[in-house]
Amino acid sequence: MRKVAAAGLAAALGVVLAGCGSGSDSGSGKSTVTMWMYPVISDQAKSQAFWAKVEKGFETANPAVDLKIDLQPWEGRQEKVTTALAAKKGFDLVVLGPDQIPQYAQQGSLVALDDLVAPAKSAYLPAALNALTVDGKLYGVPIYQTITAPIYNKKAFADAGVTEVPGTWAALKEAAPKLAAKKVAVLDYPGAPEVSLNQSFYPLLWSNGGSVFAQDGKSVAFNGPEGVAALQLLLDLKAAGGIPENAATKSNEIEGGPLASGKTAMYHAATALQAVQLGAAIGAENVGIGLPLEGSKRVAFGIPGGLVLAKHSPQQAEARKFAEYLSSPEVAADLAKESGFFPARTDATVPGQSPEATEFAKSLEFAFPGDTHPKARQVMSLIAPHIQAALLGKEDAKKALDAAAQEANTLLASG
Amino acid sequence: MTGLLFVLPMLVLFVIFRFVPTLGAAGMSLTDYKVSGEWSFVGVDNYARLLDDPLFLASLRTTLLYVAVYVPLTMLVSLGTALMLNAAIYAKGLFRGMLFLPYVTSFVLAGVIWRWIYEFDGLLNGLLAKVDLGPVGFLEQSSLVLPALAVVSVWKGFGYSMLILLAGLKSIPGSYLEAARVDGANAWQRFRRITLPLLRPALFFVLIIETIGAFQTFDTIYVMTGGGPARASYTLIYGLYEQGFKFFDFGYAATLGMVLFAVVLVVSLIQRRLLDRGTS
Repeated sequence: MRKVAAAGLAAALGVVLAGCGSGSDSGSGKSTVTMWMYPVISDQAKSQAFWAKVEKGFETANPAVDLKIDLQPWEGRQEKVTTALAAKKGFDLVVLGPDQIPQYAQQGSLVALDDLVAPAKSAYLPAALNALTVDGKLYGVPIYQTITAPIYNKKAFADAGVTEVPGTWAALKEAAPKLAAKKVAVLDYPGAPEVSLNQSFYPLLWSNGGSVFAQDGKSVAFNGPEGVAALQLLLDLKAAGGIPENAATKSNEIEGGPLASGKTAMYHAATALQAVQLGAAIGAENVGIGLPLEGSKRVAFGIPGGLVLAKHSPQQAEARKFAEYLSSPEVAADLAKESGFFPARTDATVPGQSPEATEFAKSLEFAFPGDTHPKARQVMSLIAPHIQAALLGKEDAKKALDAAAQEANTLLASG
Repeated sequence: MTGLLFVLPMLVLFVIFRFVPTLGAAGMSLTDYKVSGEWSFVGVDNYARLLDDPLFLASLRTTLLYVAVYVPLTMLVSLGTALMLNAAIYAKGLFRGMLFLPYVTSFVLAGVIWRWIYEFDGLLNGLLAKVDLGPVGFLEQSSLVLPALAVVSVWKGFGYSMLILLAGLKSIPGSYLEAARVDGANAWQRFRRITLPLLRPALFFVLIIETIGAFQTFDTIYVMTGGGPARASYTLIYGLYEQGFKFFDFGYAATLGMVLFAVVLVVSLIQRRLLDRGTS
């Protein structure tokens, strides 16, 4: 037994040593390109297999480059990327959302990549390119596009005698008391601070014609009448038993959440993956997928994933080559298939798209990447506590948003 | 001289990883420090900003409130468990190990588990429902969130203090208690007149360590409430995190760090004063 263990240990050490050997590729003339990738493909095993395939595919075509794909978790993404860029190490390429790019672009930590997409510019979704552009320069190559849409527990609505699932604000308000009578909250509103407002409050604000920032970006606009009405909608729903009692602090996880247990009936800004998870809990035949809720218009939060190149990278040419490879129609289509997201270019055809994905794709035309502002994330973390306060009955809609706006404007003025 | 050699490794580490960064933060608090590494000297601007920052004042209040809830609670629990362990006859090691276990689990894990316990459909509300109470929003109500967080931190951290107090209890000679018993002192009198005074040095050490720890509590808040609801658990250190790593305002974050440093220093000095008076 001991011998086996010793042999195992020796083998393990061998692997470690071999690993060390391949790490020092610089000696053999290979240049190393590191990309930080996130669980865009949520299934860990599938994710590892896919990125290993990408790595191999690229290295076969470019034998002089040693590609390293570092699979990072979503948690702490902002902090880690910020630290890496400040320390000028960690990655050459990383995938960022449109709301994260402006601040790093402003700091001068990223390289503009207009020339990289130029040959196939017309093939990309214009909304995707716009979202990744800062001051006229494209800083991210779109490698996928996400979209959110409402998902419904059709059975919960039918049981309460609501024959058509609500697609507008008015229908939502009307359905609330009927479902409340069955002890079901119509809207699964997630107010926990870790949930992005892009998947909670902002879609309501946007669908009512509001926006987070004023047009010049120098002040905020979410406390205008559109925003106040959006928050008031939530408070009206609350009064009618239309959102869960703990809405102020609940997250938007489907598994183990009230939507899966039938205590809430719809979530207005779900991802395709969440629709699948809900199907697993309540039966796929009971899940409805709709178009974005209509206030004065329909808006769905959906962002491109932008592959950005760090200015500090010593391997600019090689990193660009890989960005080209990853954004090519073939690889982009493969990524879309595995991730359940959508390709950011129209010339990529996704093989065998799932029924959920086909439904979600209908909302792509309403895609809005959120208000891309260098301080978008900061402003979000100032608004969230005040929405909590309103949901807890501590502040009314106007007062809550005015207080948040005051804090946000101070932040924006500080430069 | 030999003594100095023995402490040298620790001293070097302390200087490199504690003292120098503290000085660095003090310097940074006088600058406008950008994440790209560019900075400009702004003097005491950041400190002046503190006075106009309602969030800072609120977070200071929240922090003090948290410390006021946490410290007495953890003192009671660690002293109580230490006394029980000291009196235990059977399986002492087993109980000691079990009680110490939470201390070595990860804070994040503990936070996640306690979130399940506190949830609307969680364990605690399930138990309350059995006696027709609740559901109570432990993490949903502003007035309950700090005590709820304090309970988690106590559960997580009391093992360490318990061990120190247990060691203190062990060092009290049994003959003193024996003599008191012979003189007719009851259990409470023996505890009050003999155990407690002799345990004082250990108690004060624990008090200071726990107070400093309470001011620095971050993980539980980060995992369980994110400073909420409606900023009811927005402590100084959470504000520091937000300024530094969400707003990238490193200068101001360093300023908040300096304030925390000063508060902890003052509180510790006061406690030391009391300790000196108590032992002399």
